[in-house]
Amino acid sequence: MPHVSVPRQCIGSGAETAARGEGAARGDGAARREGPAPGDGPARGEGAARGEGAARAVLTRSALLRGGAAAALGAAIVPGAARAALPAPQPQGDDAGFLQLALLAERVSATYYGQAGDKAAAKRKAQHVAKLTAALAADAPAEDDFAVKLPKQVTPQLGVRIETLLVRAYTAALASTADGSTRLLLARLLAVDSQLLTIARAAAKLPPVTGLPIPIDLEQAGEELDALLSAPNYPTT
Amino acid sequence: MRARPTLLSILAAAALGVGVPAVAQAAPTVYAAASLNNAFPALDGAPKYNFAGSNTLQTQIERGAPADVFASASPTEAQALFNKGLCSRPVTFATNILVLVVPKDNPAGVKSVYSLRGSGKRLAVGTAGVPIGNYTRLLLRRLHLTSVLSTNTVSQEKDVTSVLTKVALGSADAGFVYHTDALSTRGRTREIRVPKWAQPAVRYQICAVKRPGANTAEAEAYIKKVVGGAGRTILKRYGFGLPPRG
Repeated sequence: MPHVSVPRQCIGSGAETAARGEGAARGDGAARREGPAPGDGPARGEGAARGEGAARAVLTRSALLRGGAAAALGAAIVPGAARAALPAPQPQGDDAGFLQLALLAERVSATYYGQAGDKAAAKRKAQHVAKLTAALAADAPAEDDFAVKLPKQVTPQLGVRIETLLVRAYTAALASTADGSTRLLLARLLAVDSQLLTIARAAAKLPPVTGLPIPIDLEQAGEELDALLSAPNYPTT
Repeated sequence: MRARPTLLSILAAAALGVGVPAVAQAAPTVYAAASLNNAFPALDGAPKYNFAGSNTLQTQIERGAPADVFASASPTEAQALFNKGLCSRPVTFATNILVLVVPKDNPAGVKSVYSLRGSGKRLAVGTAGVPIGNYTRLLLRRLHLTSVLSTNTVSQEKDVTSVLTKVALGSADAGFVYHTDALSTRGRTREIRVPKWAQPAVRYQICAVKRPGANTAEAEAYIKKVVGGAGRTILKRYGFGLPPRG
């Protein structure tokens, strides 16, 4: 099996960043609210000019201590809380299209990384599959509805092909998805897969992608995906 | 010289419940999805068949229709009867896929499902609620083509046979049916492939109906035949997919 070099710390940090973005911002806000706002407090009154500097020094020191503790607490708690607070996707109308395509493409990708021996990336992809399956709920395809059709010897070029398909599909999906929570989910998956694409391109000795990926329409994306799938329990035309 | 059984001896044996095996049990009454109307009689010609939309058959059974076996084109109907205690645990025995059919001469020039995006075509689809209608709507949602139901002239049909008939007669420019139905009108219609990734999982399920006076023994024998080797061979011959042996 050809070696597909994927720096694991890169995947981990990328995923963390993508998943934590919203939470980290909220954590900042929470920490700031703990400390006094500039100009607040008794030092603002007239005739307190002399005491103002001392008071501010004391407040600033204590605020720093409190703020530091709050920031540490926030960093520990808020990202988890933010993730938990993410409203469940409720796809509307044709939103199901890109979710279904992405789910199957992520399955293909998980299989690819499994065959390439990259357990961390395969695990990350399995998480994507789980999230997309949950979003599709009853409309999600069963495990045995489709089988992934990859060559026994996978190459870095194949990894690039799969990740490019995913990134372009997610980019297109963001423009046409009606449900806000579904869009947010797709955006987070896009952030992770963009990093995986960069890594895959490096492994294939291709230059990194610069600028935004070109969105792909569902018809073309479907044709590319169909080449990597089979449906062994279903009739063929 | 061998003694022939007289009418009197046969009647006596019947009264005692012995000696006339073939006459004692009548063939079961089978209520089955319209898309099974070729394969099931080929498997066994003896039962009395009633082919229609699965949801219609489900309603009839719920109202006490004299069915012994129920075979639906999606798990929804069979599972609903099972949950109400009206049939045995359903078993998946076949699969299918959706295709787009057009008349042989294809006057509207439909080349793919995406050709339906243009307006003004006459499209036949199953009504919502019947399996072929539900599967068609799911397929269109996945393909981002729900709009074709409003930009084209759409006729809603009660079952898959009606959709197919409409297309075969040229009353519709295109229609969504099962692959197995398209095979049955090959001379008059043309089949257009639908993208694999967007295919809904079409699964057929079968169960023995529970009602007073049901012919349970024959129903179970029939189900055994459908899920067994003979049934699988016939179903495959008629174009159905098969679930893994379980």
